[in-house]
Amino acid sequence: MEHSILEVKEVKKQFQSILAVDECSLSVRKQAITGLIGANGAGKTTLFNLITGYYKADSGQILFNDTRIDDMPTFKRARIGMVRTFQITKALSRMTVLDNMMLGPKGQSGEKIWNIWLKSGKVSKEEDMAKEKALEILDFFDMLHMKDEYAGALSGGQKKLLEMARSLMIDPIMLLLDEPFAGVNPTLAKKLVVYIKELREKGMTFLIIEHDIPLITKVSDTLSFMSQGKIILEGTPEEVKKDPRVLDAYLGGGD
Amino acid sequence: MIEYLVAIGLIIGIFAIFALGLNLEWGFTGLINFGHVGFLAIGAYTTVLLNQGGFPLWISMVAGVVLAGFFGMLVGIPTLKLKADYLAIVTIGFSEIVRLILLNEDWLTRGPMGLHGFDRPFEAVIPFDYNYFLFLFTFVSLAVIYILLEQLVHSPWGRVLKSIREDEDVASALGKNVFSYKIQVLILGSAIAGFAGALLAFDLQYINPRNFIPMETFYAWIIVVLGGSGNNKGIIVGAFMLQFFYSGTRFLQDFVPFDSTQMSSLRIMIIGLLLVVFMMYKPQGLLGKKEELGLGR
Repeated sequence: MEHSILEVKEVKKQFQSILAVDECSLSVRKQAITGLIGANGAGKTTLFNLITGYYKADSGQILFNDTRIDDMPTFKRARIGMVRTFQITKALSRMTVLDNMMLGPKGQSGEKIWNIWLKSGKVSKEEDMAKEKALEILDFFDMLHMKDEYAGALSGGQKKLLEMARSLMIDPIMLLLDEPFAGVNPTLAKKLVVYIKELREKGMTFLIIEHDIPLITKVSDTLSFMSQGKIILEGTPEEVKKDPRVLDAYLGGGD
Repeated sequence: MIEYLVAIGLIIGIFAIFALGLNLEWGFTGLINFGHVGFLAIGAYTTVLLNQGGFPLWISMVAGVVLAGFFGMLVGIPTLKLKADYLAIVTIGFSEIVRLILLNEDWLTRGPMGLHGFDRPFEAVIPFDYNYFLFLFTFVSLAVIYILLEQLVHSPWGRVLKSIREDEDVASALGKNVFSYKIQVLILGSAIAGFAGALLAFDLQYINPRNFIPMETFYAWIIVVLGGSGNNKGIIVGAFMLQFFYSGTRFLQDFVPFDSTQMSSLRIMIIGLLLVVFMMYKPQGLLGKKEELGLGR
């Protein structure tokens, strides 16, 4: 487990009678692409919510870059480089695609109220830079022509893409993607796989929940299989997808 | 006639400022404040009481604005951590507490008798009808507040507010301190209401707790919805429209065979009907964007 960037240690989360995450441990290597698979209700998204701070764990520890983050509010976890997307896409509907994107960059001077008047020069320079970057990323995602559309007017797949593109605006160290390929057309999904690998080469770490076994196999370095709130299997994609428990969960979904 | 128009214009200007504060909260940030009038009352009473207590008028006004903002923060701290719309309940409760304190703490506020006899800005040096000056003062203030708010909502700061309005989970996923922004907005929105309160006191020259009933909050809501929430220009237009409906119906008296008591009840119904009909044809408000209405989350 050398150079692990994220360490989840025996984390537990109970909702009334349902034990969603049961003393689950997971270690994500730096600069690796880790796939998280498992049947519906296995606890994958809950685990994501625990890691990113939307839920507070009942017990256990979460470490990011060797720092404990269990008590850190969500927005601070994002600021130290851990950014997520959502399974049910959350486009900011009544904002344009470009505004969605430009929200991303952290440490924007113009997000402090006084700077709007006191440092207007710096603010507008940062805005120009953010805009340039946003257009570049949108171009990659084939969405440049939609920059002035309301995000709420996009299709489901486009919203997925926008969410991922928006996360990239923050320059995350680690990106947690919750079903990034659901509803995205196959051509673009393949392009995304290449892009994710490219970002990994540049040093980014990924943790990806995905039900599309062929795709997640193709993109991941390691797969973790979750069942009833626990990671019960970890290994290379080839090993994991041959395991009878995985085959059982996906009913032949792995080829 | 001109005096009448100036008097009406004053109310329009004051309510436009009052509603601009609410629009920042609701229209841009999605905060449901049903107790906006509480901050109007704090602004008005603080200005008047301090001035009567011997402080210069401008200090009293600044104190009214600051205190309204401060109470906005106090109301926000325990409630804004909660996700749902608890703010709506807490704020309406807060505004009633404010009104009941003003009504019952006679030693300070003279209770239902209200307060009168206080300075108004530059009243001693204005050689012409003071209402004309107050009208000018109100509309210059309105213009300044409008311009500052426009700069704010079109800045990166305003962009964060809109993201909170749309989905605060996204805002925090992108590293924005949602709680801090909500507090800032509530402070600012309440301070603006406090300023409107001071102007209201200058206009009325006599304030009492009856000026600060919950209905005043809903006038601001009507203005926001009429004009188009999230549109500052719309708010100003909305304030004109509400007053147009409100005062315009007075003149109906000349054309109908009812006596004045019957007419005053009928008027309220007609205002309601006008609002309903208007909303059927312009659900997004006068200057709101229609295409935003159909966009779900």
